[in-house]
Amino acid sequence: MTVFRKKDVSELIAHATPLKRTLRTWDLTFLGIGAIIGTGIFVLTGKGALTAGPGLSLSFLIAAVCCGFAGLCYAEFASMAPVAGSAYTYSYIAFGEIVAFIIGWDLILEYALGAATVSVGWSGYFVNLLANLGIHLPAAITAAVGTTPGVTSYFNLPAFLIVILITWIISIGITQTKRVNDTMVLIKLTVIILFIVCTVWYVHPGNWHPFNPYGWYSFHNGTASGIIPAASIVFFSFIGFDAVSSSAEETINPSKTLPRGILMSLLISTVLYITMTLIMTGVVKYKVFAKYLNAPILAVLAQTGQTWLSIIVSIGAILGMTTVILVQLYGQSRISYSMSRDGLFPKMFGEVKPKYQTPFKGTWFFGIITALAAGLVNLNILSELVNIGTLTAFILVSAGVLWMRHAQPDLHRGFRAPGVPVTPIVAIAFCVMLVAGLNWETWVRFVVWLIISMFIYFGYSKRHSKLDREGEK
Amino acid sequence: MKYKRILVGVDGSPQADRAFNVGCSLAKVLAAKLYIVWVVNRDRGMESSFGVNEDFYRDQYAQVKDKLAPYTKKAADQGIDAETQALVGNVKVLLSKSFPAENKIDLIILGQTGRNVIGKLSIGSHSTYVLQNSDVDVLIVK
Repeated sequence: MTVFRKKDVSELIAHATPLKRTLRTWDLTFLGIGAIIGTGIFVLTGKGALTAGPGLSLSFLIAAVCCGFAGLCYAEFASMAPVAGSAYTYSYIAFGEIVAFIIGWDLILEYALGAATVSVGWSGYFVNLLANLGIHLPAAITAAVGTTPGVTSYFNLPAFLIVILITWIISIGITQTKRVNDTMVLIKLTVIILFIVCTVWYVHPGNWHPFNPYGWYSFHNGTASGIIPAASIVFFSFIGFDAVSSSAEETINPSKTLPRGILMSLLISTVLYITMTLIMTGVVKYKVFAKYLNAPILAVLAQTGQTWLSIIVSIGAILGMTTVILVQLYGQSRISYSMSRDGLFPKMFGEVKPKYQTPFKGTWFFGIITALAAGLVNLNILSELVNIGTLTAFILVSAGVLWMRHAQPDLHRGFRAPGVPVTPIVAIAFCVMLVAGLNWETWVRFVVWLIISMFIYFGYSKRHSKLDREGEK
Repeated sequence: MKYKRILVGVDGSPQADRAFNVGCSLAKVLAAKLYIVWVVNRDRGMESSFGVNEDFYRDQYAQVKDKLAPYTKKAADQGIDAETQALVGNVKVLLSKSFPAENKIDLIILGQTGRNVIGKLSIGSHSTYVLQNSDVDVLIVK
């Protein structure tokens, strides 16, 4: 079957660049927290609270457990050859071309819509900040159609513009440095801790009753509600945690350090998330978040009347989210680059502009699509699609670990996930559960997305694949 | 004071090539060893999920290795004891600290980086950074 043709591991090793082992547990923990904290909590707690009530705190725990198991599997996957390539490249080795194509296509969904989702939240906090400064933008241009019930809106202009701006920055080859990144992590943590310290006094335990209004899983007004569906939504808050997993080759004593790093960063961020969720649902009744879907933290600060804090939180959220959009769009341009290099996408996406050393055209192509999605599509739809794409990728990766242990047990692994085959099976089970918690409309949209991918694969990629041409020689 | 081990950073720009030429003539006169280094900039701050950036860095690295060949030849033609290296990492840290420390470099030669105003604001000039942070002498070629 040519669709399952595979890349050879040894060919990849030949192009390896040696990495130095320098990272320890705390480096990994900080790396993980930096990647995790910030966006989800600033953007999706509102939707989560509407879905599960105060029980959302448990949803975070479920999502974190899922990430923990998936993270261990991904760590083995990423360390399988002595080169730490992308999940896409690895699935090319493990499963063959068609699965690699699907993973790449999923990751495009994750990055493009992830950036769009975050930019919608960015816009929510930006509009609020302007309002605090006395500048009021008309509601029609600050949200996509149908975002807030009872408010007429057409286009999210701030979200559209920030994506375009960041696309331009990436296209001319500017990246954020590690120092900027570390500063952002500190800003995000400070804002979150400041928020906790300043608002915990306003909690009315009465708001926590009923704690779990929709049970584990139920249907309410035609949408999936309860703790599990909310876990499926807030899974987004942990996206990026696998930054730790892909560092196996740079970690000192990875078999011990890596699980600790994953565990510590998930533990710390989950504690922060649960604390924040309990405060948020304790200060205001969870139903109030319907009016603050794009910027849920502001619902709490409107209740407590701390305008000064709302300005600080908005600035922190805007800065933090800007860097996240940057990283997401950057990843977007690089995954399309890889697919183009292998011949699965048109050459245009892989062309590197010599002056800037960036895949210029590909960056702009997906940047514009992402900007339009951010401007036109409602946050509800965007975030669920991101989650289903990422969860599917994790299912494939976990299955890949299982399969490779069976097919190539002697292959070099920089890190071996503990408890195989239980760990990958649990990871898959959790991912499937979270996928099941999403609304059926999301499944339909995702299936459509996959069908489109199959048209592209069989219509274009299969014939243009580099492996195809090598086969003819 | 006589320079024994000279580092010159190249990136394909005309400024860097001028720095390379200066490096060659100095190395020749001083009979010093010349390290010709091209760094593929990789920032920890831009790591994305599923390691999607890796393939790009790897390809850039392979290309840079090829692009270094003419430099190796030029230096060899002039009879200079030269070593060329392609590296992946944070360009500023590599050029100012780690590479000089590991190779006991005593002089760093760089071209004035040709960044525009926005580039300078957001990432700053590489040469300025090295000038300020390096422990050894730095020569900036205009």
